[in-house]
Amino acid sequence: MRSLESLESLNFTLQLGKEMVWQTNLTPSSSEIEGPRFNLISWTSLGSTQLQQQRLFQILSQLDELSAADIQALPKVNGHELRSLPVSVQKRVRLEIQCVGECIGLLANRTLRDNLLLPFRYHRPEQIQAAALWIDGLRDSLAQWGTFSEKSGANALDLRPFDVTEAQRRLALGFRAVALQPLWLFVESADYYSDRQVLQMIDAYLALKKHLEAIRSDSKKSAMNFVLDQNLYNQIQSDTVFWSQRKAVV
Amino acid sequence: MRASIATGLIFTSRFNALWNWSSDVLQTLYLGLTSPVRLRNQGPREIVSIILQQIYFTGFQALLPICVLAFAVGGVIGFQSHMQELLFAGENWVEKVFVTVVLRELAPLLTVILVIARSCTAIAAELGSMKAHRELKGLQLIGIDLNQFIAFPRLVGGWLSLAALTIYFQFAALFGAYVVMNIGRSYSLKTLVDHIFELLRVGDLGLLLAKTTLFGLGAFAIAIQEGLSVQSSTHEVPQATIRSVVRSFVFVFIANIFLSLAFYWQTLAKVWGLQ
Repeated sequence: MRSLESLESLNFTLQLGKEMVWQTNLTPSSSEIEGPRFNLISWTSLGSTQLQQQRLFQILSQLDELSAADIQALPKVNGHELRSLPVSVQKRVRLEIQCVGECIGLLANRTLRDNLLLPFRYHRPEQIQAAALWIDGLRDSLAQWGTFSEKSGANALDLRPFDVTEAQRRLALGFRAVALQPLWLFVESADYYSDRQVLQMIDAYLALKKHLEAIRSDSKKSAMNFVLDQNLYNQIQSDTVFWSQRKAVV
Repeated sequence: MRASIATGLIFTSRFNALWNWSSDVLQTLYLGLTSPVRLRNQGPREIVSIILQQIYFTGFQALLPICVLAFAVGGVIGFQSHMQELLFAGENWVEKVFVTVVLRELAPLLTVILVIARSCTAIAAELGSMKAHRELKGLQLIGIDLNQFIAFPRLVGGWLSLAALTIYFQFAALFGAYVVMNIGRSYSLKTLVDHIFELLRVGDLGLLLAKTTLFGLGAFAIAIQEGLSVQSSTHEVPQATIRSVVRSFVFVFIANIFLSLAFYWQTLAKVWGLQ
């Protein structure tokens, strides 16, 4: 595999027994759009049970071959099985696929700012100053949306994860994912109850003047349509297949 | 017949469980210690800062209790030596006891017991809580290797702290013995130290190093393994903590027997007629 810019496709196959449940093939690049891209992917349910939704999230968040009970998943990058790639490449791919899930925590012994800066300290120390500036700039975004208003006078970013609400923690997770500028951002149940948070994340990302591409899970979900209609896509069409893709330059 | 089959099955299942658990601990140890080699140039500053934190919590904060404990142990040895000298007009054997009992056995053993009680419990509880609150999933999500970020700094920081505390223990015990032996009479510290150095052999230092390394890495690997064994509920955290304490103690005492046996092996082999 070549550099990250050549990350051409991400393919996941999930099988239940011998039957293929779903298969996705995502491509991050397009000749129509130049510069960094951002793919927002939201899903609520993959089937009749929440189990599959959790399974998908597990696969995406761990980026590992999953084999539990009769469910099997095989992630592939550029046609290669992820596990067959060198560890260093796997790590780089990992940063290009970020997930904002309902069951993810931030480090309790660090402030929100430290949590947001952690991936930069660990992976990209050369970008830490730029990331810190961007993260400090989030205060305006947070104030604009009325977040942390009950903590008036306190700098929201200096609070620890357990000093804020679950929704605020999740928003911080979203900001951390956005700060990494991944090729794909998966937001679990974005259209279920956290559409405002998704808007904030999109807003934060657009502040970086990046392109945005959205992939919806189910066009019948009105909440997600609201997100898309009000902010990005006024005329997006309904899709019958699970994974659908529309391109747009914002 | 049925009873013997049932006993055999129980024995087999227990042996399997012990085998699996030992493999997991060894894997934690191996992956933790080799992670900086496998994942080069990833977060070196972060890792160093966590190692320093671990040294602060395990090595520095335990300094006072270790010194008090060692002072008391040294004082008892000095007192007993003094009493034997008075009652039986015998020779002063505090230096011999110091080398054979304190340096070879008590210093590494009592230090690791205190470290297990203070730090290994804390590590098991901390990691269990992090696992239950999905903090570790969050780390994996941003590409942070848990072996490098969680296991390596705790293993290295814990081991260095234990080695340092064991040395401090000996100095404090020596000072305790000296203070008690000077009650009602005058005993030179220089004479005491000189006699101890005369009795010291390279093997003693080797044994000390082997014990602190094995105890430190083993106890911290067990604590990490037990902490990470928590699945999804906080009620598992105290269970993991208790398991880490009990298993660490069992490991340390068994390892201590084997290391002491190995140290005295040549003498024992002669006595037992094996040579």
